[in-house]
Amino acid sequence: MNMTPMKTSLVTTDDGEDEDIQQRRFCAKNSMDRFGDDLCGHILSYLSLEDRFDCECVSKQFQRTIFESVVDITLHDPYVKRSRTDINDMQMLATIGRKCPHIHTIDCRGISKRNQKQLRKVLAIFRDNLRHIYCNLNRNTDKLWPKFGPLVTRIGRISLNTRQSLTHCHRLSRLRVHTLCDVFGDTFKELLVKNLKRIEFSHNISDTNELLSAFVAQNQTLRSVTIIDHKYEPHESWTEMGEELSRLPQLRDLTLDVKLIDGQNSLNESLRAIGLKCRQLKRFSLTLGVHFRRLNNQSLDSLRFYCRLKRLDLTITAAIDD
Amino acid sequence: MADNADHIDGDDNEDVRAQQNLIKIKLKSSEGGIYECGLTAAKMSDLVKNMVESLGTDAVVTTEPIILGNEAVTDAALKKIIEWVEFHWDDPPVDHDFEDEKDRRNEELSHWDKQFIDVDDQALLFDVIAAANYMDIKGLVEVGAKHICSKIRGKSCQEVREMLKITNDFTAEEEDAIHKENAWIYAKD
Repeated sequence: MNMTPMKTSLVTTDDGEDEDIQQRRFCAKNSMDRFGDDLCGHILSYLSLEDRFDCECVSKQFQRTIFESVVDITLHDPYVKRSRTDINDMQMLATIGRKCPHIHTIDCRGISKRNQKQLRKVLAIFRDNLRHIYCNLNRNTDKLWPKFGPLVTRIGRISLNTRQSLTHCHRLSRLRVHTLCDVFGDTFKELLVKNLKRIEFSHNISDTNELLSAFVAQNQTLRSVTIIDHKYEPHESWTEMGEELSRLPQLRDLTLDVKLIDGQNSLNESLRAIGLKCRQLKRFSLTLGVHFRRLNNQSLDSLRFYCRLKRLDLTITAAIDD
Repeated sequence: MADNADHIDGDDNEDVRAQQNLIKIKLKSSEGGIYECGLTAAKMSDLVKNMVESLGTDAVVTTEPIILGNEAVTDAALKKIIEWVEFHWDDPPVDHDFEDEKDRRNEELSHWDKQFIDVDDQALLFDVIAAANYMDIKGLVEVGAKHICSKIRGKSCQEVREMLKITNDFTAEEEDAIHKENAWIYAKD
């Protein structure tokens, strides 16, 4: 395809002032042709990737400017109907790679394991400018990470027996795992991720608080933590967890989904430690389920220590005693 | 620590900004019309901000109008622009901990902005966008861009050309070649 600007395209030149004057002489005020390439490209940067391909042949100015601002691409499984960025369509991806030379981020977290086999070919297309890969770790992609691991900055899932690949991902910033065990080596002695910005995991009684303690110590950079509790855990485990979380000085955003059973009601203490010590905390989302027992009205007293919060989402499914 | 200091500054700033917006400055369009605008609101334009700051004292600023020489800054466009900055000058500052650039770009326009930018006269609409671009008011350029893109979406190339009065400078063969390259788009509809 011929992508060279034509003689008529005065707008492409870099000498702004002259170009503007020329431009105005030729174009009606109600025609978008009056805009220079920079402004035209900026306006079109709000279109989706698919829309851009739909509009490429509106004019040569559109063709020149419409792909300039594409910096990321999200890949999909072939059977996702509404999406055109199908991971198995290499010819299409090659076209995208050629027309959008500034793509630096690839998100393939939504792709099923089976289709991840194609990832090697996809990365080969985009590799020259690639700076960020968002992915899942599984057996089909294991061999990629010694080479591409340093580009991985977000991980959405870690399949069984693939966590050792984490050692290649030095720049990892956001991670979602099933349990905290997933970020430790097989002996639970070696921590595989350091200096994360965001973590999401499920609280599990089998994660000893020692794991959390070691994790917190090596990830003081954490800004966002989400912990989901799937089972009803004793209060004590949350008290220790509160203590650990309060050691994160950079924490901005905390989401806790807590389910409590009978026992000493110590929720208040757990929350107090976080409120007192995490002085950067701006958003706190607390979902509280209390089983078989009523929450007494002091349980949430310590929320008054969260005076710097800008947003509090509170969901309680329990009766509160007077 | 540093962030805490910023936070306190932020609160102070709000008062200062409100105070400063009571100071009215004059803006002169390329057609010669002179219009008053609050100082804080006017400073949403990086161009005006730099001009005001290079002038120094506020006293000078309030007497002499600031001349906006670009042809797109017509009387009508300047009036629209002042309406926009006077509505938006006290918007909360961007919180970089949470505002993802990508999320912001994908966010829909507010009801007020939608009504503001839905201008029937396309020449005026393009004047407002080009003038906002010249005056370097990023938020307003974004509103214009999102508006145009919302109108482009779902239309054929020919419909887009007709709507935005764009000249088709492709030959039929060139256009066919692009359609062929992008055939995968049409195949999945």
